[in-house]
Parts: sequence; C-alpha cells; structure tokens
Amino acid sequence: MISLNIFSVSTGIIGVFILGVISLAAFGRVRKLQWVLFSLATLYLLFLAYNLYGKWGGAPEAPEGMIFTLMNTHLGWLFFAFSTGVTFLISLFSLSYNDKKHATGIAPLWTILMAANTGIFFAADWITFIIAWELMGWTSFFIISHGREKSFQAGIYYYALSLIGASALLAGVFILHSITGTFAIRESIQSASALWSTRPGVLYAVALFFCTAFFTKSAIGPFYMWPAKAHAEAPDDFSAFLSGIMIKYGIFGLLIAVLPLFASYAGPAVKGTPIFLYILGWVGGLTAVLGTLLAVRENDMKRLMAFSTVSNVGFIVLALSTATVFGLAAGIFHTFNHMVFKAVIFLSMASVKFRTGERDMHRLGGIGYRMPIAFFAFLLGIIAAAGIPPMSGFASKWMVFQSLFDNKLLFLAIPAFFASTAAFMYLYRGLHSIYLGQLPPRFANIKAAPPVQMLVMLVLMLMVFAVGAFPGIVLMPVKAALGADSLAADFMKIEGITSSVNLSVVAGIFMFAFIGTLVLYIIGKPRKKVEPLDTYTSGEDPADWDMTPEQYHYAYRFYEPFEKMFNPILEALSFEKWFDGFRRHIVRTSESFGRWLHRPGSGAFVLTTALILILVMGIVVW
Amino acid sequence: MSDFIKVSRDEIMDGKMERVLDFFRARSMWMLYYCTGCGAIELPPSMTSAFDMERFGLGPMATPRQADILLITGYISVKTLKRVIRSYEQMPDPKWVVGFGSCPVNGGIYWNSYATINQLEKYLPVDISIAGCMPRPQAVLDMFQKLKNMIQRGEAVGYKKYKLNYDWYKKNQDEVLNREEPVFREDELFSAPPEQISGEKITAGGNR
Amino acid sequence: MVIADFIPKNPGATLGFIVLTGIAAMAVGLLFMGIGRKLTARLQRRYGPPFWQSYIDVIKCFSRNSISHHYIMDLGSMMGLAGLLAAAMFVPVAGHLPFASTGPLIVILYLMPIGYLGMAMGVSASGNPLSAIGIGRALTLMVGYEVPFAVIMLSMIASFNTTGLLALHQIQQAGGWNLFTMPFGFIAAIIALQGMLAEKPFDTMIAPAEIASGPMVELSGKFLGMAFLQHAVAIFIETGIVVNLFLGGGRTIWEFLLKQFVLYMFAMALNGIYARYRVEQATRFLWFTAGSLAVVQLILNLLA
Repeated sequence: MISLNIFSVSTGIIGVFILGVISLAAFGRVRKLQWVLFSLATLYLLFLAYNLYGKWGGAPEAPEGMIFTLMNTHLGWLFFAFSTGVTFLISLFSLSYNDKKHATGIAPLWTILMAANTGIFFAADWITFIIAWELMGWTSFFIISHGREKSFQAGIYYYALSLIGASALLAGVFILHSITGTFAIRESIQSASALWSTRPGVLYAVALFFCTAFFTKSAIGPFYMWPAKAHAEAPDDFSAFLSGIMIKYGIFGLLIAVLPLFASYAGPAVKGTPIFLYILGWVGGLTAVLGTLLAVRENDMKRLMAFSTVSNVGFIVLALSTATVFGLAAGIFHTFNHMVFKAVIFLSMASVKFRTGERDMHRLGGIGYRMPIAFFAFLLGIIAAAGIPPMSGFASKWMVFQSLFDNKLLFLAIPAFFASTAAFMYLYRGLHSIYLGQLPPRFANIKAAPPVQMLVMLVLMLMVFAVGAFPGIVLMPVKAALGADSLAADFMKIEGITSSVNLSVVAGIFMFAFIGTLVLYIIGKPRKKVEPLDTYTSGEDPADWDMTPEQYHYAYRFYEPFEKMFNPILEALSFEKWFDGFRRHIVRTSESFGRWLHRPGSGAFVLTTALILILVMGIVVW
Repeated sequence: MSDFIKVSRDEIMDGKMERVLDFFRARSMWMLYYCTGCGAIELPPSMTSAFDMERFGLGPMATPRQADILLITGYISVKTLKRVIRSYEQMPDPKWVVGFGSCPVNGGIYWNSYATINQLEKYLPVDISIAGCMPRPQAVLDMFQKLKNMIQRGEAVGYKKYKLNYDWYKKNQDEVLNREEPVFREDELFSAPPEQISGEKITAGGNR
Repeated sequence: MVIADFIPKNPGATLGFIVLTGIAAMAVGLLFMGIGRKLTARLQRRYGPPFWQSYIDVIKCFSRNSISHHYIMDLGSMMGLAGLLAAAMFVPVAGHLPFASTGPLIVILYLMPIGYLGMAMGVSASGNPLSAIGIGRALTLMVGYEVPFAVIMLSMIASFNTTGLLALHQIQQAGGWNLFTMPFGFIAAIIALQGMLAEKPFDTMIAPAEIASGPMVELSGKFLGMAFLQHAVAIFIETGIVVNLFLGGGRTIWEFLLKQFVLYMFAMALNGIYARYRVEQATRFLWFTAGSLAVVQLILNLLA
C-alpha cells in the first residue's frame, strides 16, 4: 500500500522522516546544516502541497483491513498547506535565529515532526493517524525539553497530559472498530453515525474519548494549563509552531471525528444542536474566559501569549460546536488566522529575546524604539488577536459571533464577548511592557532584528493585513473545502446571519480616515522631540533621585485591581494540583522502570525480550 | 542686567497671521496652578460659583504639557523655584507666566527671607503681575481680562523673551539654585542676641 | 472580483459624504461638549463658558507647538482618531449613511477600541507611567461596559434577528420605540453609556487629581487637540448607537441630533452629581447592575 510516486504523500512522509533521522545522527555538530535541511524539508512539503491540489482521493476501495493508508481530502490538504506554509516561514526565521549563541539542537526532531504533521492530515485510517499522533507527541516532548531541567519539567507535564490523550484516542478507536469493523476514518465515522438510534451509549462513549484526546492536545477544558508551561519553556521559534500549529491538531481531530459523528443524530437537542455539542460549546466558551483571565495576570510574555492561544482555541471550539456550515467555516477560518497572527507575535518576541536575552516583561521596555519592525509586527499581531478591523482577526471573530447568532445560542455569546473584550487588556500590556515605555540603559544600543527575521515578520504582517482587507483569500478555499455553497461570501464581503459586512470597505474607510487625521496632523503646529525621561514628574528632575528608566517603567503587576477581583475564582477553579500529581506519578513510574532496566545484567534480558516481541509481531503481520 | 538683549517692539510682537490664532488663544486659556505659596487661596473663589473664571474660557489643567499659563501664586522659595523653572521649560510655546500676589513682584512680606526669592522677573519672564496680599477675586478677574487683551494684541511674548535671553536668565537662576557658599556667615545666624530668645547662652553654629 | 466592483457608483459624491460625515461628527461632538460644560456650570450655579467654547479649545490646541517623545506617539494619536472617525461612518444618522452599509453594530463596537488602542500606543510611547496606569484602568473599565452592551445587542438579535443599526432604525420607525418595549435594556444601556463616555462616576481613566489626567499626561498641542476630537467623535458615536437602538432613530437629522443631545445632557447631569468610583468598584457595578438588567432583558426577549 505504499506507492513510490515522487509526488505522493507517502514519499513525502517517509522522505522527510528519513531526512530528519539522518540530520539527527550525522550532522549533530553542524547545527546550521540541520536548520538548512529543515527549511528544505518544509519547502519540499510545500511543493508537495502545490502538486497535490485537486488530486483528491487516494483511499483504497476496500475499507476492511485497512492500515497504513493515506488519502488526500480537501480539508486535510487545506490544513496541511497552511501549516506547512507557516512552518516554512518560521523555518526561515529559525535559520537566522539559531546562530552560534542561540542555537538549539531541535531541527532534526522538528523535521521528523513535520513528517508526523503530514501524516496526521493525510491519514486515511486510524492506525496511521495514531502512529503520526504518537510520533508528533514524543518529538514535541523532546523539543520542548531541549536539554534543560526547567524545560524538562514543563515537557513532562505536557507529556503526562498527552498520555491521557493518547490513551483516550486508542480507547475511542478500538471501540469504534468494534462497532463498525473498520479502521478507515471516513467509513468508520459514517457507519457509526448511523447507529444513533440503536446504540447511543456507545457512541457517546466514543465521542467522549475522542473529545478527551483532542482536548488534551488543544488545551481545552480542564487541560488549559499546559500551554503556559510548555510554550513558555520551549525554544522561541518552536513556541511559534506550538502555539500556532500544534494546538490545532485537536481541532482537526474534532473536525474529522467528533463533528461528523453527529451527522444523523436524532436525540435530545438544544435549538437544533445536539446536547453533547451544546455542552462542548460551553466548555469552549469557559476555556476562552479562563484563558483570558489567566493571561491578564501574567508577567512573562510567553506565558501570556500561551494563555491567549488557549482563549482563541476556546473561540474556535465555540464556533465548531454550532455544527452548522457557517460555524465550521468560521472555526476553520479563525484557526488559520490564528496560525498566522500568533506566529507573528511569537516571532516578534523571539526577535526581542534574540537581541536582549530577557523574557520577563517588566525587565524590558522601550524595545520598540530600537527594533521598529519587530514592534510593528507585534502591533499588527495584537490588533489581529484582539479582533479589531482592519486585520484578519476581525473577520474570523465576526464570523464566530455570527455563527453563535445563527442558532440563537445567545447565552453562549456572553462569555465569548467577555473573553474578546478582556483580550484587549493583556494584549496592550504586552505591547506596553515590552516595546513601549522607558528603555533601560543596558538595552540602549541593541541593534534591530537581523534582516532575515525582519523579512519573515514583514511577510507575516502582510498576510495578516491582506486577509483582513480581503478575507476571501482564506475564506474561499475554506468554503471550497467544506463544500459550503450556502455560505454567502466572496473576496471582500461576508454575509452573516444578522448582518453582512464588507471588509474591504472597512479597511478602506480606516485608511481614508487615517489620511484625514494625517491632514489634521500636518495642519497643526510643528512638534519638538524631547528626551524619554523628560516627562511630567511634578517638576522633579529624575536625575536628582537617581531614578533609572527601569524604575520608571510601569510594567509589574499591571492589572492589580483586576487580579484582585478574579483571584478567588481562579484559585477555586484550578486543576493544577490534580494534573501535577498525575505528572509526578508518571515521572516516578518511568524513573523506577528506567532504574530496573539499568541494573547490571539487564541488557541481555532486554535484548531477548525485544527479539521475542519482534518475532511475534512479524508472525502476526504476515 | 548688562547682557540683557533688547529688541524693538515690532520684532518681538506677534505678526498678523499669529494674531488670528491669538484670538483663539485669548479665549481659551488653560492654567497650571503652580500654587507655590499662600497666594493660591484666592484662586478657588475665582473659580467657583461666585466669580466663575470658566466663563472666560479659563480652566485648570493637570500637567505643564497641557497648560498655557503658569500661575505663580505667592512666594517662591528657592526649592520651589527649581521645580517651577523645570515646569516652565516643559511647557510648549506659546506660554505665559502670571505673577500672582506681591511676592513675585518684590518679595512681599517675605522680602528679607533667605529662603525665598524677591523678584521673579529675574528668573522667568513674567507677562503680567498682580499686586496684593492676596489680591481679591475681582482683581484676579480684572487681571485675566488684561492678559486676554494683551494676548489678543500680540503683546504677551514672554516666551520669546526667554528664548532670546536664555543665557541671562540661566545666569540668574544658577546664582540662586547652585549656591556655593552658605547664605549666612557663622556670626550672623541669629539677628537677636541669644539671651533674649531663651535666656541662656547659645553659641553660633546651629543646624545649617 | 473586478476592481470596478470596489468603486462605488459616484465616487466623488461618496467621498464628499464621507468627509462631511467626519467633519459633522467632530463638530457635533464638540458642540455637545461645550453645551455640556454649560450645563455642568449651571448645575453648580454659575454661568459657565459659551457653548462654542470647545471649538475654541480645539483650535487653540492646534495652534500651539507640541512635544513628542517618539514618532510612535504621533502615529498612535493619528491611529486613535482615525479609528473613531472610521467607526463614525457606520452609524446611521436618521437612516442616512455616507455609503451603502447596514450600520453593522459589531463593526462599530470593534472599530472603537482601535481608538483606544491607538491612543494607548501613542501615550505609552511617551514613557510616562501615569499614562500607562490610566490606560490600564480604561481597559479594565472597557470590560465592564462592553459586556452589558454586548448583552443588549444579543437581546436585539433575540427580538429582531438583526444587528444592523439601519434595520433597527427602520423597525422602530414603523413599530415604535424600543424604549417602551425594552425598558430594562434601555436602563442598562444608559448605565453602560455612562461608562463608555468615561463620565463620572466612571471617569477613573482621566482622574485628574490621582493620575494627572491619565493618558493625556504628555499630550500637548495638536496631540491634545486630537484627543479632544477623539472624545467628541466618541460622544457622537456612542449616543448615536443608543439613539438607534432604543430611541427610534429619528425621522430627520435634527430629530436625531436632538435625541443625542438629550442623552448626552442626561449623562452630563449625572457627571455633575456623582463622585468617582475606583476601577474595580466601577467594573463590578457595571456588571452587576447594567449586566443583570441586560440579561433580564435578554431572557424577556427570548421568551416573547
């Protein structure tokens, strides 16, 4: 079942995997070469995507006994194209980021991860999906840990949760196999969804297991804490990939497994939405609110953005849970928009860390004066993240809200609005604390970002702006992928449920208004440039008090009143202790197993056991 | 006074175009109430309901950046002078200084104090002064009328004077702010014989 | 998509209307501000400035030199005003709009924060921590009043299935004012409006005595003028939204302006009476009173 056509997906996966292994084994000394190979691998995958467009299909006809097969679906291709495209841009950034001082050895593992990425989106049967899922799980664990103790703690936490997810996935797949008799993804879901009248309990169990699996990966519901640890401790360019792309694997899983399961559902429903999906929507909404509240408290910029990711994923789940065509389109649109603007935010912060070495926001400040491109990239990123026109975030957020209005799921929209408005708070805080305010003297001479990093950030900025003015750039492919002819949207305009909006007009009006204010600015009398420390200090001269710019920069505990309001609730709702306990269990078990393996004389024992296992598997397969 | 640069009236007054803008500036004056001393006590009555300064367009503003008028009310101690000068220099052009009360004019009742300055005119360009200790609200309003007319005629150009004569003003300011020697010599610390104050001998030396 | 679809039928007239709407929004807002000052003065038993005082203030601001700490400050001030002017284009005035649109409420509600964000960016670049404190408070307060407003919008959807202000205007012209059919929503909107306008008791963002006017601490000259204009346009937009939502919209422009005027005078009257809430008190108050009233209205609309 493995064809060797140069353009075929399987070649892509296996080729990239082998490339990653070679890169790991052979080029451990020459880190630059590893990164170049990684870029080439993503470029090759992009080329593959270009060639695969339109050639849908590929799953063999006989669904029984299907293992190790791949298929090219429009939706899977779309996810693949976007994720690989953004990863290619991140890889270019990494080429510049990983110079002598900052280089991490994660490139080969990332290459293998890209192979797993491809596998997830093109899997035609559950076994391939699970293999790719597991591969993605442990490569990302090693990348997050990247050899440091603190990162290892974060990585183990992530891995513990991933184990829960993987086990749930296995359970769900095997139950599905037992009731439908096939491992093929499409066929099994289709035949399972016909069984609602006869075996609803089993189907609920399957849906629950799948939801658990995908929730752990996408940090929804009770699993909201791991991005803050993992994204913050991972290497900076990988954080962009983690937050932008890896989080979305769970969304893809929900799209192919859970939502189609409710296709011919005839049980209890709330205004036309199955009750399971309605509860899913509430979980998504509460995740959005929780992510936002936790982000407001943060002092570390990467943790803040990780919680922002959690919040946005909650939004996506809200949209998906409506189970309408409009909702699906809104959710997928927001997924892709989020990939781009989160990447640009994280890459901008990576640039800052590259030049300054600092990650805590209250130790930075005024960096935007020295690194203007990073500043503008971050600015456009947060405007998009806040969902403000004319950037791309508005178009997708608007669609998410409209999808909630569609089914009259109005109470769900309240946490959505709350999360969206409170997002302004932490986004502004990031902007002010890092890029504006007072510049500490020790950073007064840092150089701007390197040219390649600037180029990548510019490209991503342009994408954010272009999709904001012309949402059709992303929305038309999504519409085609879903086969959603009822969705009235073209290049510039989207027809919602309660109103329609022409985003190009909005962007155009904003530009025009900007020109108007520019005229006003020019009419006014000239302005004089003054020193940053020459501010209103009640007549005092800061130098008299030996005041340094760092002391004058307001960044620590920025939102103290808000924190005071919400701390009691957040403490009560925290699942932290439970998951931390679980993580410690895992660490203890694996450490004891490792000690048992390392006893003298155990080598022969392990070798014999391994040989027997291979023999048994070989007999079973043939 | 020897290096003070004098220019002719026509050179320093506002030109025709500026006078159009001066019309608006005169009718909307925002003040920074740098209430240096006790003279400030007559400002609240001028602001509130009985005398109502706001109907002339006058209003308070919080920071020097936003204000047009720097209102020096009352005596100016040397400590305050440093902050006043910094606030004045933080204000953008055009700006006006109003000396409120007798103390900025000639020292008022604190004329022989070592801690205050006697003539604000030497350190900042005062556009209009109003004598009195303290001047009543009617006098305050009269003063603001006069200032409004001055601005409208283009005559209130203290800020230009400051820019032109910056060195002269700076020399005067430094004399007071960066004193090298103590104000009093050891033997003139007390004006009255020590026995009259407390009945016992107090040696000079004090807590300067 | 052909580029010709992008250009409206009569570009000159549309452009003219857009410019006219921008200038009218600023002029109306400044006029209301001036009359508001007069009202506050009369409440305090004094005469107050003439009602054209705000125009003179703005012209004076533009006639002064100004200072800036960095070009980001300039950019931020411009962006702030641009966002609000753009939002003003989408508010239907007695059914008239400068170009064809539905008056989408969500677009307006999301274009207004760009005014905040632009100003926030500009004043952060000034380097004064007082401005950052002010903006932090303003954003915290924004969460307070946006949530009740969103719930009011949801109750409109529950009843009429639309969020376009133009459609709501037409429905009310035919049917009757929403003020009478949705009283709870109207009271919630009035309370939220007080927060939106940043008038007492919710003016903790400016708080001259505490944080030296907060975001405006380093603004001078034309920057201060643009901040004033921003406030003026914000008044126009926010009262315009509430008039379109609850007060029937208005058959003619003058009727619309009159209703806006009455709303703004009511807000200024409250401003003259109340003291200032702290920011967490204000946010809690807005959620518990305005929010609960709006939720009550939503439930009533869903049941009806």
